[in-house]
Amino acid sequence: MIVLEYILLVGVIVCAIAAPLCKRLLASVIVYMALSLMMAVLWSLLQSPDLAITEAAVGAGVTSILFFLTLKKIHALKGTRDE
Amino acid sequence: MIDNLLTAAGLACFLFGLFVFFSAVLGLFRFDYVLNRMHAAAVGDSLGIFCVLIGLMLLHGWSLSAGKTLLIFVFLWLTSPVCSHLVAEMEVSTVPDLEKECEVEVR
Amino acid sequence: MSKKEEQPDRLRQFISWVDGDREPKDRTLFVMEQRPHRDFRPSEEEFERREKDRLRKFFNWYPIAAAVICVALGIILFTTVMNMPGFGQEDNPINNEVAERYLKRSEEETGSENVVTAMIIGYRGFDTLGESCVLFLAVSAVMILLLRDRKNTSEHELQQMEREETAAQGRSDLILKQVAWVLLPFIFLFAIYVLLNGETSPGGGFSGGTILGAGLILFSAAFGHGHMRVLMNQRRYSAVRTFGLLLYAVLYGVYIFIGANGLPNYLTGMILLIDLAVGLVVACTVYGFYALFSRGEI
Repeated sequence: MIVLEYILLVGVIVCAIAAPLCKRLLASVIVYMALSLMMAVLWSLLQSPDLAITEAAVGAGVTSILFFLTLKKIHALKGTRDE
Repeated sequence: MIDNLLTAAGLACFLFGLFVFFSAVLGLFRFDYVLNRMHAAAVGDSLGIFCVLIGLMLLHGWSLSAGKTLLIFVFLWLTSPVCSHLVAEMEVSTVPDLEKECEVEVR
Repeated sequence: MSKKEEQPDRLRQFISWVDGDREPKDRTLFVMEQRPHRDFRPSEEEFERREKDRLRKFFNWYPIAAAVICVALGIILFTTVMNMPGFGQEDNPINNEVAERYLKRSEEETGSENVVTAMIIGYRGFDTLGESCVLFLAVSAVMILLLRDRKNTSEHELQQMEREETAAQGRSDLILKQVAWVLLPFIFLFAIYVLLNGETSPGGGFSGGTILGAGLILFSAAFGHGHMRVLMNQRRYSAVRTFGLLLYAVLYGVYIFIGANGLPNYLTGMILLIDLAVGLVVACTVYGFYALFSRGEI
């Protein structure tokens, strides 16, 4: 179990560094989503399932949808520029 | 005897699932276009999830958590192909000339 | 200027300063006249070049400054973490009588088996009330910014919206619809389970509300806006949202009024109701963000 925790912690740190360094906004959002998922697994390993459910639902699900909608609104996604 | 057989079958399923996942990740990195990559990821995902979860159920024996694992498996088999389908459809509908990017089979 | 005249002059200056004038009026004219006339004005190109130069300088030092700030913050946080007592040790300062009391007596005092729910809804419910208010205010602020109505929408935008909607109707995906039709009842069932079972198992208002909101988002994305409007229009949405917050406020007011401790038997269902209220607020927030961001209307 402790090995899994260390792997997840390293993954969280790598994702946290990679998220602002990505050139494309979409890639940043997806990396952030991966960070949230790993955090959710970490929470449940630290025996706080309440937080894990909320993190998985909010961080990985809803926040990403809102980010995608914002990217669509500012025409940063492919195929959303109105010609 | 039966126990040993079950454990062996579970381990075999689990390891085969891990191999499928590994090849899916390899395909994700090696292919160069979205649709090819998605083919590797989605197909590998479905089969890998199936094998890993079946292996876990066999290893763990029949209990309530095995039933829950089965539910997770059903949920993932319902949602994951739909997600891939939607992403692929989006890609096809937004790319102006698909023929340049990859082979297109017209039916 | 003699010394005698200086004093009332200062006074007058002070009075005019209190009145809001920065300088006395007669003096302003004098100062304006004395200021050297500026006749040098850079041309457009010169101005642009200078702007670009300044921008380039800014972008030269910006990453360095960001990196320095990040490293400094990281060092501060790391030293803090290093100086913290070890995780899960017995003689940590958090293991005092407060935690003990929460663990031992939360069930009889709040009527909730799950200690986390007992804490966030019972003992620290005021805190959670503040959080619900923050969510409520966030949706209100987004509504102010993004809500579409007759006054801020032109004909052209309206037509474009309609065209997009009909295009989306024609393009709606059969596979997504069928799968959503199969899955949605289970998602809503799970959301209600998590919402109402927060007393005894992990879950509660925040998680259940978020799952409920995500289910609403899936419904809206799969079946289109028209079907969603049958379920929830703007009035109904506002009513549910306000009802959730008001229910929480009233219930927690009652809770504090009767002593916030040792609930009588007829009030043990309060945790459940407060959870329900929080869940309603959170679900409305999540769905409202989605609807406002994607269409600009509920």
